[in-house]
Amino acid sequence: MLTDALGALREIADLEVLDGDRAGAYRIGEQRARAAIRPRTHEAAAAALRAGAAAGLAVVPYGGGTAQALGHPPNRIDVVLSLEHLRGIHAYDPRDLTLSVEAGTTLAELSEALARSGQHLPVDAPLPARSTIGGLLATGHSGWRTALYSRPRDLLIGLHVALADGSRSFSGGMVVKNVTGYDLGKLHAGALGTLGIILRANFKVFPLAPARRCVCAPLPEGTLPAFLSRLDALVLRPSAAVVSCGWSDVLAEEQGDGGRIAIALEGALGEIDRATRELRSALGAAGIPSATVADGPRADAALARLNDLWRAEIGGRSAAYRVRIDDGEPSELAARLEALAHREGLASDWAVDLLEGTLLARCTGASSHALRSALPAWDAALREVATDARILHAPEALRRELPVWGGEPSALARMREIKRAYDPAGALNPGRYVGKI
Amino acid sequence: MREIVAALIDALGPDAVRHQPEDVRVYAYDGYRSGDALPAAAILPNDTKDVARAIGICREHGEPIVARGSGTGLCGAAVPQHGGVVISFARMNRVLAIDTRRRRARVQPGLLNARLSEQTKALGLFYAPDPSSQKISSIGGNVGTNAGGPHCLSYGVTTNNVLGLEFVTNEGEVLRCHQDAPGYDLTGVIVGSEGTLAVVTEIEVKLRRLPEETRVFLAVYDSVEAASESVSEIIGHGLLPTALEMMDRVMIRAVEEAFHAGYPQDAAAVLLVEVAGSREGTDDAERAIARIAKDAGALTWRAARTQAERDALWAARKGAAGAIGRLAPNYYIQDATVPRTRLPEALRAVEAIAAEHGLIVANVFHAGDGNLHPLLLFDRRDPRSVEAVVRAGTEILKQCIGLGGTISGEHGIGYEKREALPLVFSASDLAAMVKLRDTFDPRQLFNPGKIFPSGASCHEVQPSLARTGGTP
Ligand SMILES: Cc1cc2nc3c(=O)[nH]c(=O)nc-3n(C[C@H](O)[C@H](O)[C@H](O)COP(=O)(O)OP(=O)(O)OC[C@H]3O[C@@H](n4cnc5c(N)ncnc54)[C@H](O)[C@@H]3O)c2cc1C
Repeated sequence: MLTDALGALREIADLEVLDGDRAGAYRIGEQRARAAIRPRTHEAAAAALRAGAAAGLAVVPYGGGTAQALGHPPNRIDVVLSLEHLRGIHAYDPRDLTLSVEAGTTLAELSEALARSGQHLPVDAPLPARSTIGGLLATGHSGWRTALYSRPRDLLIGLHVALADGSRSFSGGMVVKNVTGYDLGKLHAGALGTLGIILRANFKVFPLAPARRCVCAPLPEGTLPAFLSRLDALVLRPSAAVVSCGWSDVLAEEQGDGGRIAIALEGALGEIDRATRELRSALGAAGIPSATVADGPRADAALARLNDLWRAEIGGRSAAYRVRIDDGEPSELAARLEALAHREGLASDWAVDLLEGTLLARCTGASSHALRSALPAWDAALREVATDARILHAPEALRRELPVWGGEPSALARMREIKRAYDPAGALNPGRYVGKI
Repeated sequence: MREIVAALIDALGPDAVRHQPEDVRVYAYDGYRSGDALPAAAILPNDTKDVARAIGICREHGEPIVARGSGTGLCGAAVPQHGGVVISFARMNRVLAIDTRRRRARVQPGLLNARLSEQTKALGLFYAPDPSSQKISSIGGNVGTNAGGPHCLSYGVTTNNVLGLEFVTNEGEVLRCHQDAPGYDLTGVIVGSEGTLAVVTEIEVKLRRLPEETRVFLAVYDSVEAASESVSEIIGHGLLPTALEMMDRVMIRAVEEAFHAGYPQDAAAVLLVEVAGSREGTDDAERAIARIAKDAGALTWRAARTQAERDALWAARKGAAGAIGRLAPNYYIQDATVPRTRLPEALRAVEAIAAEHGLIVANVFHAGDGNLHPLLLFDRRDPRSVEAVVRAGTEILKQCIGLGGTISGEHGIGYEKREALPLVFSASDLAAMVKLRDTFDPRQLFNPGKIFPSGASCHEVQPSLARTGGTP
């Protein structure tokens, strides 16, 4: 059946069809693709979906492959649809502060092009040299600067997608303010490609702040609460404030008994100088004396290392979670979870966004087997306290067994109806999403 | 008494149900028009349970359901076009919780926008989206239209400031959604859906810290052209003030006569510029913006020195639409958005179109966002002026689309612009949107006849304007 379907796909203009080893290079978690298609145009992407629908194929959209371990393992994988050939900037006038970019463009490529005009798209993604714009939107990743810049969905002003039936849909526009028609871009952002394939996205972009700084310090045990009460009073809201503990595979920064803190500041030089003074005195007053300061590209690099924590996998024996709680301090929760992990014989690393209250936690076993037997107990303990706990990566066997997306959302039935409306045959990324949609 | 009315009274009590024609008439219009039909009833629920019960009853009777905030909308979105039951949120108007640490609040939909910032001020926090109607429009209505406002240039519009919702479905089920929870972003699609997908009963919003320093400036120009060049230059230099608003000569005169706020009556155009943040940051921004404005031809650049002066300038700006009543019995306001480099062209087009139709136009708008608000003045008793206004309005929309823009930046599509939607979107784009509506509302009971084209002709707009005059 797949062979027949591939024959039909080979008839489509501007569509590259791969099988064998070349297809096998595309990995979805621990599985390898048997076939892959790479459209060169939006028309070819839509035509491929139409042909795929006729042949009943399950299609897995593929950007840079950095988040293919997200969600449940797919029920079926017939063909990977790679956005690799759909890359580049479609339209960009720096004077309008708007941008239209093809989905397969990597964040690093895009950032470089925008930086030439002194601008940026402020989304913080791990592995920017591989992460694509389409993938970033589809996974709904929001990084450490969410409090300042909001989520990618908030920067999105227009979206082109190919739907499962081979039709195409555009919503939004190329203007920064727009209430014309439903905001379907929001529906696709974070939908993990289960409602359509993102082809091109329009964003509002921002001037790069003239001064960017990162203030880091090792945290002595027990000093964080006193600092938190002062954090709110800073004249300039930091663009990121992250406490991290562990992560020796990614971070070289010195760490105290309570981990380390990194505060990113962006703005005019005068204001970040003043913010740095205020920050030093707040840290000092809380008993955190030895802060170091990095500016410009060194500050960017420090933030980039923190971004990479979101995808820091340790060869088949780690699992990472994104956790949100409604009440209480996430850093206290992190410490409790760490103790629980140790009790289960797991190593623990964590990081907390002090501004948004989001917690990233990773557990690592001595072997994949050790992780597999110890993680379920830790997972269950976590779910008793968290409002929302999602698995970002874990070995496939665990992702088959654990509630990857957390508890069922109250509107799950409505979400299923939405899926049915846009993808009645369940062809796009089947089984991977919330509620195994 | 109709059966539905009896059922509603039975469920909610007589005090929560209005059904006499003279009592329901006030629920049949909005800032754009009055409807062709009166609603069978208007209800005033006290809580979410009331809303859910009422929706269940409407569904049983196959009656349309139209959620209503303050009825200040400018596109006919809250008008019960096909009768049915209006749900007024006037009694569900409380702030439910404020979380200062995480800078969030939970509110009921009937809360007036300005009330929220009043209540959080003592905590040093504010709610950013500030439609000019903020003293009278509700946050539920703002969610319905995805309202904008002068300060949305730097803080984003309603959708960027709403984190989560509680809503009632067509089946009368109460559900919750949150931007940051797993699953499809229902919050993102319900905001701005003008009551066609769900009835919102609770809203979680972002709050922000009040800035240390706020400065307001007035840049004066001898032409609209020069003022709009300034806007393009400011944005083009990557400067984003907290607000960047423009008024032209006609508007300035009307506003000065009404408010005496200190706008120069002989100016052809002014820019109202606000920068806020830390002292150091505002120093820098002020210097940079002032220099660009002057280079682009500002005759004068003046700072408002006192809080009172700043407040007066803002009050006049936000009251501008009301002041236009001094110039003409009626106005028709357009809401197109264009890329900001195209503002000078867009304003030239507006002027030419108005002149061609013999109309007076007054401009007051969110220049920094490229969001135009030409007010076309007319007299609804004169059918020729009505006709001219409708034609000119459509031409303006087409010109703005031609410049890469769109037909509504913040007021919504509602009844008014639904026939213009195909100017922006293809049949397959629209089909994808209608698909979403049909999953939420297969029987089209939620605000029927809104947003999507009916297949009827654009001429419908004309009689509707003639009836109400389009004056809020
Ligand atoms: C003088 C003046 C100035 C204005 N300035 C601005 C401005 O600067 N920016 C701007 O964006 N708008 C502006 N407007 C337009 C208007 O105020 C906004 O559209 C506002 O958001 C409408 O709020 P409302 O409470 O009056 O809602 P309504 O007009 O009652 O309703 C608007 C829409 O929201 C829906 N709705 C209401 N409540 C709910 C609910 N609980 N659940 C689901 N749907 C609901 C309604 O069905 C309708 O479709 C202005 C209007 C006037 C008269």
